[in-house]
Amino acid sequence: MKLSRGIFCTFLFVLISLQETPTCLAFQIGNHLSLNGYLSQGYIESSGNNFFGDSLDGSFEINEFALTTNYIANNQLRLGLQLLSRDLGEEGNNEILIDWAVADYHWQDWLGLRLGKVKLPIGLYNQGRDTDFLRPMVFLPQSIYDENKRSLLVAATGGSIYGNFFLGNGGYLDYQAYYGKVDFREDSGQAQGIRYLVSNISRMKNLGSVSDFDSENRYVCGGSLLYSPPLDALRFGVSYFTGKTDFDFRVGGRKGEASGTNKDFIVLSVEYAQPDWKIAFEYSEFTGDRKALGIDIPDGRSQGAYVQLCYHLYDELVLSALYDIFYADKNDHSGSKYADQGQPDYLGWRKDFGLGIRWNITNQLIFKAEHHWVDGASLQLPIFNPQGVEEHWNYFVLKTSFNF
Amino acid sequence: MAINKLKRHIIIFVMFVTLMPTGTAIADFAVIVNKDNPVVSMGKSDVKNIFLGKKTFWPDGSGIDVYLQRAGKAHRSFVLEILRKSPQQLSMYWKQALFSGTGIPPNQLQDDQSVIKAVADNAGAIGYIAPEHIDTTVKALELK
Repeated sequence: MKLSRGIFCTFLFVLISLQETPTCLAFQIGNHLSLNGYLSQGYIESSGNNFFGDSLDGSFEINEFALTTNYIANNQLRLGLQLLSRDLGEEGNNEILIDWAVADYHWQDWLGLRLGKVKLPIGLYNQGRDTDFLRPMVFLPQSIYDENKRSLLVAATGGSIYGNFFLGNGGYLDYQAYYGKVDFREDSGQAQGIRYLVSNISRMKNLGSVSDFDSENRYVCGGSLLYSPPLDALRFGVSYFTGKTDFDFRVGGRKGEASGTNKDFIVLSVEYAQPDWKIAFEYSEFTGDRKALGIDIPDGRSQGAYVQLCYHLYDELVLSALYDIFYADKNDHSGSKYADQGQPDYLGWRKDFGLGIRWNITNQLIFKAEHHWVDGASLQLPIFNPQGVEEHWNYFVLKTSFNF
Repeated sequence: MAINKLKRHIIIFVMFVTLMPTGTAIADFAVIVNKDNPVVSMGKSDVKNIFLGKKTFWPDGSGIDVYLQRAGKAHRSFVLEILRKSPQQLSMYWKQALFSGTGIPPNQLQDDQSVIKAVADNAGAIGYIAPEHIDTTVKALELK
């Protein structure tokens, strides 16, 4: 998949400029083939800490371009593919990758099968996490949808089953379950995190420089249940994820190994969505069990939760407020583990309060602006701030998105 | 004096509330299917599940082809009353499915006449139109 970014973007631009009145299904060819896509470009600036790339100086390295095609063979069989080019600081760099690619056989409403590269149902919003205009704010709440874990959590090559059960007057239940492997990129937040850890251990033990870093995911598996009760607009969700990844590298000229087992990632979700307002609450716990150079890292079990309120001032204008909180160890909210190691205790938490506005200029074009006030430096912030991290920091983001 | 003023305000408020449209008036839409479709009535929750892609088969096992409209009074009324979403939320719902690889939005047609033609030509089709535009080529479902 070595299409150049320029060719891809030009192709998208030509497609868009060809249509006079773009719609969601602008490029439906007959009844079987459709072509869609989206483009988004943002600007992020922070004070106190870098947040994904060099945001202290202001950064335009925050964008997504996607091209989506679906072929409907019949009422039960669909073939689909989405190419995605994205950039977020050091990750992505607009290389074009297959975001998902599925053969979807919808046998019955209660049982369907997807084979290929499938998006993972984690929480309410993980499957749409790369599509900016689906989100009320630019980033999904980081306590659960941590961008540094994106490559591990976004999609897997393998398969999934899905379906829904009608419970009579009791509403209905959607389920999805999956198994597969993740193709790790070396610039992914996950790989960067382990590399940062290995480098620190190597420095402490005077083992020499780390090179030839390679990641191999062994498996990911999990599933989700989504219950919609008879009360309209309300839904409850629970999802589970687990996975294991091995890392090989050379340290001081010798072979080294590390592993990361992401155990028992559980997300509990509630959403209540009326036509002109919506509130969402999600809670999660996650165990990261890492081993590097023979040392077992006591990561503990992290804890995250957020509440997000969106209100449609008009059809076109949506105001959002977010309170998002994350603790690296649910049994150590004060960060004493870090303090005992001579590090800032505020590496143990991250509390983000954000206010944002979204302007739906048309059905296809949106603009977002938001500001966040953050207390704490958890979620791998030291990777982007080798000079040290500050406890209190802010960031604001502007972003515009177009879809067709 | 103050009590009289309060009474006047209460009377005006009661008049205003009682004169407001109650929502139980005749619907601004009718759900239509092909004339040959044996189904004659349907629960509102079933209609909702069909238009949200949760229910995709007719009772005889054949596939359901859904036709949405892009805009208009019937569209807004149908989406708000049956799907309990705003038109924009419905659009987002289907775009989420489209761009996450979990589904594909239904056909979207321009107006009532396009929906009537599509439903008349397709034995498995379902759509909605303004009630005054129903003609003999399609069948309106009774909603329960």
